[in-house]
Amino acid sequence: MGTFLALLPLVTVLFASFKTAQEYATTSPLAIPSHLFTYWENYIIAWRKARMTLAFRNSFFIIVFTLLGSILTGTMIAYVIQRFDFRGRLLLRNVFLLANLIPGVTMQVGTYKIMSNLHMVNSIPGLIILYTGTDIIAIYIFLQYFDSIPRSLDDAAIIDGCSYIKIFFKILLPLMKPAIVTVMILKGVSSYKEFYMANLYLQTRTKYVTISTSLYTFTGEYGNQYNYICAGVIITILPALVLFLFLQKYIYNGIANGAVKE
Amino acid sequence: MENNKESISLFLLPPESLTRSQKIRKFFQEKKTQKHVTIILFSVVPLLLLILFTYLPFGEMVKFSFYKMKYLGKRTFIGWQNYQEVFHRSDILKALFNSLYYMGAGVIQLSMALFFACILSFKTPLKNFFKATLFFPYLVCALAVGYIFGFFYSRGLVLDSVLGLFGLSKGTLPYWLKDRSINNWSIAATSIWRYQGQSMVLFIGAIQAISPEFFEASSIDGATRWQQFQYIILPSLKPIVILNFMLMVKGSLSAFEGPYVLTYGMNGTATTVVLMHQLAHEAGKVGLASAMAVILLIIILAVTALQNLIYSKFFKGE
Amino acid sequence: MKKILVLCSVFLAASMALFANGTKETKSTLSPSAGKDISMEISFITHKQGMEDLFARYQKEFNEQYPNVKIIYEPTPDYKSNIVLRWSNDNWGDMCMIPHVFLPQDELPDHFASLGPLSEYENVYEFASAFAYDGQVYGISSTGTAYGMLYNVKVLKDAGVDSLPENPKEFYEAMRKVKAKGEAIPLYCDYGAGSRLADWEWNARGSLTGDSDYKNKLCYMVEPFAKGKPYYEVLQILYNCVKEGLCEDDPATSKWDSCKNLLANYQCACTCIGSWACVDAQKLCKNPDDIVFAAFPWNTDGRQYATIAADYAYAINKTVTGAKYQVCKDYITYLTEKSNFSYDTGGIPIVKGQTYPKTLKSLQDNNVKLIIDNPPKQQDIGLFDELNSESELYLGKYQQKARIVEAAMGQSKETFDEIMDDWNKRWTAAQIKIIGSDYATRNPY
Repeated sequence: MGTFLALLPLVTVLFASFKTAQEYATTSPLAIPSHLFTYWENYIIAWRKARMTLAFRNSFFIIVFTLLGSILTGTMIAYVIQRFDFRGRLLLRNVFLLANLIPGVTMQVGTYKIMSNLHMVNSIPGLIILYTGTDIIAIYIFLQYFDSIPRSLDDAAIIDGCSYIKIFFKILLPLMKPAIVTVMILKGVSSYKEFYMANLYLQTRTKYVTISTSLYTFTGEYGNQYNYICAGVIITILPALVLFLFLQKYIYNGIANGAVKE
Repeated sequence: MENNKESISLFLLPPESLTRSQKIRKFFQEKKTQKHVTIILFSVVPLLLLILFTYLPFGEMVKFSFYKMKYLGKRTFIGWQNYQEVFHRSDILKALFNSLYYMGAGVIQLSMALFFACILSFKTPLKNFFKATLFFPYLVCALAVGYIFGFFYSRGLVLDSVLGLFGLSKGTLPYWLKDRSINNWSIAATSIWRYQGQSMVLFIGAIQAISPEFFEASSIDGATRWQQFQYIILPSLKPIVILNFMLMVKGSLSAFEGPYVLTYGMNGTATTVVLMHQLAHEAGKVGLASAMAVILLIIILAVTALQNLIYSKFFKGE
Repeated sequence: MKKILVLCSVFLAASMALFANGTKETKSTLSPSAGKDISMEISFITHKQGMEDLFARYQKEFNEQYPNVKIIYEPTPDYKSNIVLRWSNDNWGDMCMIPHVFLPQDELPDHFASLGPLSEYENVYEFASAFAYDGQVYGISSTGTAYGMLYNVKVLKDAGVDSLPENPKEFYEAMRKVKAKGEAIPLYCDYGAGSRLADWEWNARGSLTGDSDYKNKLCYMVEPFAKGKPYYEVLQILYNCVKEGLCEDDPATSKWDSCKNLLANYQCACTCIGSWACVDAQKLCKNPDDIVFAAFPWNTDGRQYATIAADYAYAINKTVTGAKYQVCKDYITYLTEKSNFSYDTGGIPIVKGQTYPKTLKSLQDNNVKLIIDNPPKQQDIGLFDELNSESELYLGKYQQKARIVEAAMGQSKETFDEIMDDWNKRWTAAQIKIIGSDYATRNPY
């Protein structure tokens, strides 16, 4: 039932992706296309015109480095907040948690100013840094997870003479695997889908198109070419889905190996 | 290990007898110093990013809230006037009220996610298939969501046809987006569809972190699935559930994408953020929109604090 | 799978062939002009999506003048909210498009380079003053749009309507006949699309009044939305049609793409829109002549008027100077005078005296007079925008018109008169706050 409800709305997308422009215009969105799974023209055009090859390459690059950045900064700050006692610890924690609560509608003006002063407009590394610095929800998850790793592990390592940095990288980080995978899935998907900033900060589409901006090739002020957009939507969803399944499996293995068990 | 011995021996010696290099080494090996170095080293980058991309723009926004301004052109300082106006507008109250629909939807979304996460954590046939399909709406971008639900809720199309199969005739069904009595629910339902998968992943992740031995032991003791849920899963998920609740409440108070892509906030569906967006971009009242954002933040903080209070009272015994 | 591969390779081959052709031709048409010494790249932010083929053609043709200049188009979705942020900084690129009625004229010099004195353009180009300030032109409209109604005449004829309605009475009658026939939607109001509702308003100015200063006068008028005034009359037609069920059944989910298809497939009789829509609908229709763009159903002493407005304008960044400035300016000249853009999009040509495209022919045939809004007097620059912002009437936008449709659909308890009263109240309050309580006596028009 849940599956049915989850898939049902997508029927129109799937159907539209196999219709010719003519067929799309004249038939109901619920009419089964006359060439279901045999008419691939829309997919080919979507791929070619929306520069999907380039878009996938750029998006892949952006996601990999955003994840790297987010996971590293997220676990590092979570480690500091969760494992050390120092003056200002609570302040630091609250400052990070508060950031997620700010509704920022008119904040983009400030962000844009900062980005352009740092010469990070129209550059992929710039967008990666911006993605890493915003949507910092990962910190919550890491904070939670650190809580479940017993402190005795750290203490034992300290007695063994490990430095804090070594404890972090050699002992704690591997134990964080399930949390990291969860963050990878969530943050990965959100940067994959993110449109507003990609659209604003990656101006030159011929070079810097991403998956989320590529679909907009077929939109316009005066109407959209939905049969191409729908094909594009299917194209962009499938690899993400496969990757998700792969990562899900990875969580299982991580657990099965008893990584978290004491 | 050897290294360790040496470092311990260094501590035992009186300070005067150490060479300069030994002093430096000692300095660094002192855990306290190391602690400070680690704290600074690990905090500097995340903190810098946080200040750059959250707090500086936020400061700018607070500044805007005291001006009469558009994005471009001249700005006039007007003190607290924007704040005063916020309290005199009736549309803001209505927009805040609309958040309740999204909170309702949020509760359903989290319950569903918890339910599916539990089911799919046990050995269920076709587990991965179900997981993928339930997660899959989360992958759909906003552009497609507007398209999909435009047809989904159209008179006589997807939803009506499906309900028709169950014998409900068109005459008895409402217009899902046109009728004000239902349209906010319709839009809130799309957010369940979109974000249920996200919450589910979070919950599955947390359930996986529970040691399987608990389940094995309890199964041997003859515990039912429900008992397992009640006594093992729920307590260990408590922090993540609370966290999700807090984020959900924040998310519903600042809901934007759903109403924006489906109705542009027309026909009584404007949420606070849709209204702010409209005021800033269409009416050219950036200052007013900024003041609204600041007030909304205060509301969110108040609600979050209240939640914290309730949770700490509620779960005190545990 | 094999099929895909084959198709893929066919496309690859085709695109390679195209590419090869392109380079060959540019080489062969090297012109002897001084342009060939100039080699540079120009970035051009545009709101037009998916027009790569057209842009490629422009590139090729422009290369006849400047063989080594490359124009890099940067199509941007959500253009308007994007471009304001970009303009807040000077390095947004070399060229861009200025949306119409978007910036008050006095802000133009903050962002753009002057293209020359207004006197130089006034007699040659249409809409020359739309993007001018203090005697200097800062933007050249890409094309012009006329506002009115788009009809499917076959649908009307089948319902027994033989001539296009020229006044509200005929219009209601026609719509009722189409409804009675029961085969097509009489009027597609396009409420769900949001921004399309704004098109009604353009008719309230020029089409009803024939007065080019109407928008300027509005700032000083006493209760301009009262019964009998142009805004009231035009919007009442919208209200009545929705209320009477002469519109689509579920306006909340309507969109232009659906409207276009319905019009072209004889399932809809008309919609209120700009002339640009005509080409789009004709392309989909098996008999394009059935789709006709006509003036708003109104006439003053037997004569019909239609508002025309400048579309997005080409502009150059104020930081661009020297040779690059010249190349950009030449590119604008090329786009305006040689590219055929207006004909491709079915708009009003910018160069004065050029014949109108086929889609606007019916306007010419019926002797419809086209009305352009005059720019405000120097001291009133930005005044309309300020009043509009202060009153939150969203003139030129859709939000308040949506309110009218919602009331007509029975979704709110307001009546049309109550809404218009509220408009008057808000407008008056804004007038008093910004101009002063003696606003009515200060009218310079």
